[in-house]
Amino acid sequence: MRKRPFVTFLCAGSLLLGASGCPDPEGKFEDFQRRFEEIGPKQVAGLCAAAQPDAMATGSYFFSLTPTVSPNKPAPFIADVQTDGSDVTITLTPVNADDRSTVITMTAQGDPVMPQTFGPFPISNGIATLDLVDAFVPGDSNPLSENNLTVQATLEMAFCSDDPSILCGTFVANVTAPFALDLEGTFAFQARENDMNPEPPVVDCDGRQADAI
Amino acid sequence: MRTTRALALVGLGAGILWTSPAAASGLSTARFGGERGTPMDVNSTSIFYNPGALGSLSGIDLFLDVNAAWRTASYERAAPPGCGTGADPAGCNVPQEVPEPADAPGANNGKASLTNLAAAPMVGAAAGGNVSESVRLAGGIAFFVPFGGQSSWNQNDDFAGNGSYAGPVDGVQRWYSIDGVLRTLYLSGAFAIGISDYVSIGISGGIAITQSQTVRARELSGNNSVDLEGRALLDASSIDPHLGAGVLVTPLGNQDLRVGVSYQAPTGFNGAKAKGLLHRYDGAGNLSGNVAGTDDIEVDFNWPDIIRLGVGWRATKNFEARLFGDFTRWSLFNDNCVVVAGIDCEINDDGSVADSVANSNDVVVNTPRRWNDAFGIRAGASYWVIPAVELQLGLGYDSNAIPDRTLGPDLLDFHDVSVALGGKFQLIDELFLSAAYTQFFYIPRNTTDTNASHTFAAPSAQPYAGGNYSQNIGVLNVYVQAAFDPFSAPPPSTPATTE
Repeated sequence: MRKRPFVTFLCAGSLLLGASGCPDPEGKFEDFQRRFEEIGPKQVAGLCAAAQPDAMATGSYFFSLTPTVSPNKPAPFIADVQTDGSDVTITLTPVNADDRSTVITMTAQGDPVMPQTFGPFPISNGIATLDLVDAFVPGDSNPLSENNLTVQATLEMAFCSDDPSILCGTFVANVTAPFALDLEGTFAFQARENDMNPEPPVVDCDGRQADAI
Repeated sequence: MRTTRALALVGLGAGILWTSPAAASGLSTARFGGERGTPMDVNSTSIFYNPGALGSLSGIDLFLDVNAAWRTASYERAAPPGCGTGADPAGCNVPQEVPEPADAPGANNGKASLTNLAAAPMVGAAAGGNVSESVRLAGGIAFFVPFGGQSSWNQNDDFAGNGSYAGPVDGVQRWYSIDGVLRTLYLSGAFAIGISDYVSIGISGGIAITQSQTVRARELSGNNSVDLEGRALLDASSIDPHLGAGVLVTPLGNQDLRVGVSYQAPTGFNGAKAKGLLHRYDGAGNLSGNVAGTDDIEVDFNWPDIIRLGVGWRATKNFEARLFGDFTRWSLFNDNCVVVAGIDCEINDDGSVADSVANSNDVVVNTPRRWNDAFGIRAGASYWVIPAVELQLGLGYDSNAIPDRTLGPDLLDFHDVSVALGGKFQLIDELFLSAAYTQFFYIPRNTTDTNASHTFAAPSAQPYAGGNYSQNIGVLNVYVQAAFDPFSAPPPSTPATTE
């Protein structure tokens, strides 16, 4: 990549005049790579050490969204995770927060609850940023109240390199209906074995578990 | 198309442009010819400033010009409220802003500066002469750099050799600009016709080479997370047509009073689409081997058109006054859109991708410019101490093209006042040397409360770029001009005398 494009021609002209501060975009780009590699792997706060997944990561997961204001009782979902290794798409089906097993198909008001699909989101270095726009959390999945919520959430998610069955990270969210509320917290996706939900589920990248039912 | 989609989704957008040592509004750098580079002066610079003026040229004009500029600039940034060093990200409610880590104070907030020198050449040749008593034809060719520049920001020594963070050493401005070059080079020809001694008209045209090579820090989603930052290197170029036209009127039938007006169409007429490569190096933790990539992209550059008007009046044998200016439609410079090669970009006012783009993921990143039209005005005077020595004085003002909401460290502009002092010296009958120094005084800007770069929708959102901006530029213009007229009738020879 260290070709010398024509743009450096005029800079050479300035050098003839004793110029300093001659731009070297390629050089600066490569300098960053060198520094980055010298520092070596680092782990992003709140995430596990991540690795790019492969298609084997596709499957059914139990998703626990755990706001800091409800650290031991998450909002649970069944998550269908689809990935080809370069991006990830998730489909969320809400589950009752009290028993973590009953799939919710209808709100308390009688409105149908449909699975919601989000993505695809790119995965880079095993990490993906998931923007969940207008995510609907029915009251029965809400660990804080019985209100149906509409949420704008951003999840920073890592595919854990030491345990491919775990996807986890941190989130920030804004509840936009029925009232405005800012939330933050952690989450984890745990692979479901034989369509069984883990109990108690993991709620963050440190492996912390929710309170048992 | 997996690569295509990955590129688009990864969104490691390129740094589009780089701060130029602009010596006029926006990115205009055309100062060649110094105080004689005007729409009403007749020399090879007329090929750009006013091709119509060439119609008044008699003889041959050869022009070699260099603008050498020094430039200092600074950008000082403070963390937005709630987003200070080590702050809880949940309490930072500024879009695209991620508090710098507690162990990296000064990584994103503080002062960045640059000190650069740059040079831009211009070379031209023109010739003209009478083809009849009342008609004069002229033509010329020239190479020059009317737009752009280059910059290289100083490094932040506080992070030199930092064992935890690879990015901050490139300065707090790195999310917009680290190093870069952006310029448009013109290779231009002109043809003009002079009608009687009062009017001449001309056109110019040729090719314009737009080149951009820039590197900036970039995070996947467009924020300024020190933990996750990577780099994007854009290397793109295009070749486009350009066209201009102008008129010079000499109401007195000589060069004592000259009125020039010209129009330079936008480069490429509908903008330039530069093709090239986007090199990206993801910074999301260096947790796997998939950290780098290169993709074919195209970038939109919508250059402005320019209207110039000027008057020169040789009031006495020893004194001339000049007043001239330009109106540059920088409002055309609205979005710098990086797309997957072969895709046309269209961006909504809020920065989102327009519905007319079939796959919004094909728009890799967009940098909203949303510039304003700008103008410059210059007054100048010449005094001939002796016929071979012309002293020059110039005063100028340039308006600002960049609104607060989109001003960033990558492209700077200010209201400025300039003072020029120089001279033109006739070395021998046909050879002139000119040197003029222009100092630009820029009015500093504070956009802390008015910047809105971070409020655009994806893929146009950028990190917050509010802060204090300052700049100083000085330009030394030197040119050598050879002017002679081999077409004119030789003076009558003295008859040989014989005893």
